[in-house]
Amino acid sequence: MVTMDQSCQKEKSTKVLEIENLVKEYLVKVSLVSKEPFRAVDRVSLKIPSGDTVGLVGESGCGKSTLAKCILNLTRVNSGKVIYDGEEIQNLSDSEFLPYREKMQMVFQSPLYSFNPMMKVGQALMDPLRMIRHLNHREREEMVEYYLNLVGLDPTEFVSKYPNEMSGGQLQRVGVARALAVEPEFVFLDEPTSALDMSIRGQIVNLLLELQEKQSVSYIFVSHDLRVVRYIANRVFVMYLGEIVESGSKEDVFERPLHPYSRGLLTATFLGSKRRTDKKIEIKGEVVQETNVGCKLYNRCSYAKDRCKEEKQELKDVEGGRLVRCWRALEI
Amino acid sequence: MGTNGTLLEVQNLDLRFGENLKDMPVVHALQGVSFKLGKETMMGIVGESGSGKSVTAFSIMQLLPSTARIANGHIIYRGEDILKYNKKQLTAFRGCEVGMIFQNAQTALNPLFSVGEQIAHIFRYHNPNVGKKAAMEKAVDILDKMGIPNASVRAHDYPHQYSGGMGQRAMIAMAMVCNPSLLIADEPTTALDVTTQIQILDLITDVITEMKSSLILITHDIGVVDEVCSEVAVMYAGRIMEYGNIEKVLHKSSSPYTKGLMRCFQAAGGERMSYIPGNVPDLKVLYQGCSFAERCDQAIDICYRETPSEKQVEDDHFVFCHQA
Repeated sequence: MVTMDQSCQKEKSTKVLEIENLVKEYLVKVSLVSKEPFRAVDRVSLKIPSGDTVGLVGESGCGKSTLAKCILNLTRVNSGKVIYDGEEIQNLSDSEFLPYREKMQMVFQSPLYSFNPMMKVGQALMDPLRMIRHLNHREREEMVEYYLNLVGLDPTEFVSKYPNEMSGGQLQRVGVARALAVEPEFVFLDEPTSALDMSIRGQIVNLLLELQEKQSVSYIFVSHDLRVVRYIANRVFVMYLGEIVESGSKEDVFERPLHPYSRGLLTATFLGSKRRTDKKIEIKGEVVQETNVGCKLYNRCSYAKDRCKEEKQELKDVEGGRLVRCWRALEI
Repeated sequence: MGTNGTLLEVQNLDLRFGENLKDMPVVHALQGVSFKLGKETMMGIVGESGSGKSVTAFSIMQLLPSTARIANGHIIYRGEDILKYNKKQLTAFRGCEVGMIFQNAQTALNPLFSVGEQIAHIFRYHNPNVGKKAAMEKAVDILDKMGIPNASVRAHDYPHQYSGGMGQRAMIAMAMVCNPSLLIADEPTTALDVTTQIQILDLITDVITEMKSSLILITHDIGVVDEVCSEVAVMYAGRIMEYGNIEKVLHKSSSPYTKGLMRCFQAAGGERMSYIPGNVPDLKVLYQGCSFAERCDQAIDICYRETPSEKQVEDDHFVFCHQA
């Protein structure tokens, strides 16, 4: 949670980022001659007030990365709305969206692939400062120095390094600096630690937590790694095949997951922690596009009944803000 | 270690890359690596990038590139040093005695042949008296045992038609079809979703137990070895830091590196996530002392000067640390 620090330079923002019934489809080749639409994001709605830290979790095909791209105007949406501070911002042109880039930034999964290999990292940090914040050269140099220091890198050493001259962890710090240098309100982090060794993930996570206290920024942490999400998020949304299947506070979702998929995910993530008392497999098989009318998890769920196949499941509030997409949630 | 007798013993293995390349620095990928694997034992090798865990596996399989050279050491399998094997002996060894599975089935399997054909081919290679039809039947049979639904049909599919988890099952089938005594699995579940990972780990455990083989499971994920293995070796920058009984090594660790790594994994909650400061050392440099000294919060003078030798903590627990 963001602390109310008296010496905090930035005023605490009250902006809200809202997504309403967002749909993103891709045309997928099913045979030599035909393509079918595949819903990567299937009518997702959520609300993120600034200051919140949200974890968007799920495995491959759940749509979490696509959702982030939709919000950040990196791809067009098919229907639904992205609302920032009351204004609709989906499907804007590049130039129309530019003012919002200052408010919403992204840190990518692979540090090596998200930086121009021909550009020194100092230069890579200068660009957004020039384009978005319109600082002059001297001001930009000072900012770059400030942010490199802030993320724990010595400017004299790193400002003139190329991406391939740095380790994964160091480059990811620059990625964080790049996102924060424009002083955004929301930062999307798409699997920012997945490409890093376990012993250095904590370096990036703790850095993010410290910077959040300094700069009053909201994180939307997109990840399949629940171990890391546990530290960063205070609210968690679990996604499966383009839909939100459960949401709630971090404590609720981690300690008492209600949806069968969340339960399976948690058991599978915390291997070796003795969660598996009877070696039971809660979620069988693999992610497969479902064609039935009912629950998308039907063929994999060990708690499934006939009703699950026939009846489309909706997100319901089951206990004070806890949303679950399963009619059996409270009985299993 | 292992009450069933020793199956494999790696002794003082030194592996270097790039010695035959002009003007290039030599990479010391493995330095003095030693461990024992018993029969019917499941052992894990854990380490981060640059630890040398994968090249250890490739050394055992003798699948190293031409730029690699084993400068020192022995790999004793059933009492014979496989580093001295000729081509004929190696061919009989790979596939028949030791099988290996990799991280990504799409890159490990041949994309031009159906999965069934590939498995049948391997089976016939090591059993020349078996006819094509019988070999294909064997392939279908083992695919079925590995949980491929509709195996008789899917055996004729190509690797790209298999999903991630199916691909791993197919690879396991191919590795186990000749009943090897040892299976080496190099990051077999890293590329899979966690809900699939748990199923594949269960499959590997079941297959190894049923066929009475041994397993070396190589991974960066401690949770995975904790779930499957009874023994573990922890590697760092080309050296073994600690090895032995898994309960003792992971939960009563002696090496500061193991302790640090376990803290990172434990996700104990609290305000901040645990980590080990600094970076993995440069393998082009041959370190005088302990390779972990730079990052160790308990390092003393001798740690920087002398490479630690093996110390016995208990019957089944060994560590390489001056302070243990």
